[in-house]
Amino acid sequence: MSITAEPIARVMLALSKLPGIGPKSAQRLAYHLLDSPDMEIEELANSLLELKGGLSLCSICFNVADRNPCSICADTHRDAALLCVVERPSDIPPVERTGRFHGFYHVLHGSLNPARGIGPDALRIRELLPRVRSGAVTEVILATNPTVEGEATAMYIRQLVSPCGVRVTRLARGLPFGADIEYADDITLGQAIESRQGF
Amino acid sequence: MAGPRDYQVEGLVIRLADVGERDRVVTLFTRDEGKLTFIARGARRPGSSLGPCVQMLTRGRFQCVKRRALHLITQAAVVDSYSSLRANLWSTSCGLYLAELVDAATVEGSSNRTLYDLMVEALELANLTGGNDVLLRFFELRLLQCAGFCPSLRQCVSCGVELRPVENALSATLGGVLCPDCRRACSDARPLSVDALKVLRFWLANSLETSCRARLGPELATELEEHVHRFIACVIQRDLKSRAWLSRLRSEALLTGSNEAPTIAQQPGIE
Repeated sequence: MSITAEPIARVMLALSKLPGIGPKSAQRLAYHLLDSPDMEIEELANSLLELKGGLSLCSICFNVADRNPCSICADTHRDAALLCVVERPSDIPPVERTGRFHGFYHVLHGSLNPARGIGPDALRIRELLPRVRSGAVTEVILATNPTVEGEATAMYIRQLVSPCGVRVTRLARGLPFGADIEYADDITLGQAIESRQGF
Repeated sequence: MAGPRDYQVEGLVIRLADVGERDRVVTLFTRDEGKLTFIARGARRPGSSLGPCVQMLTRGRFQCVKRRALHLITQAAVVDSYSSLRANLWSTSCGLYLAELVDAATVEGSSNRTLYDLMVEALELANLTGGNDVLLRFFELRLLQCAGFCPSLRQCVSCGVELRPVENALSATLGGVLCPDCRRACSDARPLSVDALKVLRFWLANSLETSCRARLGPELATELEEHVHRFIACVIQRDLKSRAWLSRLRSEALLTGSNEAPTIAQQPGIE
């Protein structure tokens, strides 16, 4: 016989599947939900149900959105000459928050990972080419992660889009704001020196 | 690894897996302890000093702490990041293939200093020259040797007779060359040309740098690739996913005329 009631155990099991949630955290959250008012629980349950049902991929940029095309692709005030390529939908909000980019996006939904068998066909790379060839785009900004896989993805895309005659740029790499040079690693510091700008 | 709780290892990052929000499970191929798996807490956090050191194909010195489960990497310093290798798609892919190969051919905690030195040498050469098929074949053959599965290339593996300079056959399951009289008895034996046998012997007797100067025609290169891969598949018992990626890059380079994937025939100074 189980010590924990079956409905609580089911919630704990579901919560423990979430990233960063271990069995202890799942138990704490499950009991917290049990103590919460019914209205809050209902609200949470409904929003979870709507999460999948109400969202789809934008047919232009492949961002996750509640309408098609998404609000960014439908925005006529944006600069159609700039196209920023990101790995995941979650990479768009940080770029938007900078307030420095007013172009459009293209979400790849991952990066190339040869050892895991993730090739270009598993990503939205093929869909990028018609957008670049449309003639409106003059610069493609490759904003994939500065990891070996992200770099490989960026190099592969550069190889594909370069013949289209557009400018291909990569996000700069270097020291984060507030960092201490004394504790910076050699790779980051080396890249910061290489990418230094006039001041 | 009995001894103090803190210890230091030198190694190459050959596999990574993200865990939780900020952590990373890091598989290192170390110089003295072989393949070891660690956890690097906070390595995915922006500004983490561990982050750049626990990237694929980075060679570094890692300060570790023993734990009951996975040991922890607490500090790291980069010895070589192979920056030129990472700046090219083909050479990056070659490096990732070597890492997957070493990962598949080794077991946790089993030291193999010769293989470590070979991997470092191969990455250094790929970093300098961009990597090519000869480097990959040489590495594969020497990896078989380091793992104790070096093909027997002097005598027939069936009857023991000294091999003559005629077309023999190579059998991965029997572990070496079969003379013309014995080849019919083995179903997986494939014809091995005199030149291919000479190149295999040359690679086993010479350094990587010397071997990479070998002049190989496309047909011989293909024959060697097939033979060596049959051996590799027989030893590791699984397909390497990054090998398919290398084949794709090579075929796309041929289609687009890109210079990202140099073949043996395209190497400078090679026929």
